[in-house]
Amino acid sequence: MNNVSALRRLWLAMLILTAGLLFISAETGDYWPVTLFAGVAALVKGNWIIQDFMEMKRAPAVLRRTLRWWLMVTVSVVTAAAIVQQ
Amino acid sequence: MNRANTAESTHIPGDLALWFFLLAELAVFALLIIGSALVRTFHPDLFRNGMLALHPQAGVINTAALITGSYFAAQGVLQIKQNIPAAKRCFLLTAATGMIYISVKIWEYQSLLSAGYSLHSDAFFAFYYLATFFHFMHVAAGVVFMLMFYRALVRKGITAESTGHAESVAAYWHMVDLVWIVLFPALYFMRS
Repeated sequence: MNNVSALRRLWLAMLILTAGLLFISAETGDYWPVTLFAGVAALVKGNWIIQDFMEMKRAPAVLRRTLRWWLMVTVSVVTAAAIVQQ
Repeated sequence: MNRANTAESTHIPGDLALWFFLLAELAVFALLIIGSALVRTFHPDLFRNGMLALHPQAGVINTAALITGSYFAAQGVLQIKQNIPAAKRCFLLTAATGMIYISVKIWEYQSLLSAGYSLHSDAFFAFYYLATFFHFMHVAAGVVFMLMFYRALVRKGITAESTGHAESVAAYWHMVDLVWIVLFPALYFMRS
């Protein structure tokens, strides 16, 4: 798989995850599945953006870890706040 | 590991100074997001009611637009590295996806304001307008950067500096996309 087709697959997967969130929200309407799916989807999409679109695979580890840490902290905090709210 | 491999394994995409700026921007957004999460725990009803007034479909369209823009930007960087002249179209397409985001966001702002939800309505809408407008301005700046780079490619073609510039504008766009990937579910879907 070359780089262009790899990017295309990730792009399609991210679109499916985004549309899937709308679908699950409309279908189930339940708080927990939607909140957990939203959090996991954000982590997965964010990691793909950092790793593959930003080309962090070849970047210094400190930069890559900082971006991943930012993603992990922000997604965890918003998900935790949503769970506490419930 | 030889020297070439070492150099390759520590490549920073784009300008180093830009990364200090991007990390500072991410820190500001992190403070906004964490601050809003704290407010949410103290005022759950405000957030519950506020989120119900938003338009999830608009959020999905905007997420798809930004992700698609990121895809074109990443593809543009690859094509610049391969010296493909058509790479410039990728950056124009990225700018176009940014315009879609801007159009949808303006529609959403107008819709909310006409329904009576303003910056001063409550804590939720104060955060909503502050965070999304701050992000909106970054998308608008990203569109300008993409168009400037597109214009440079049209005028001068691919030069020795093009790879660095392409990586820099793409990194900025990906940062904007990354922030939205966190804001999007927090605003539109993590609601009861």
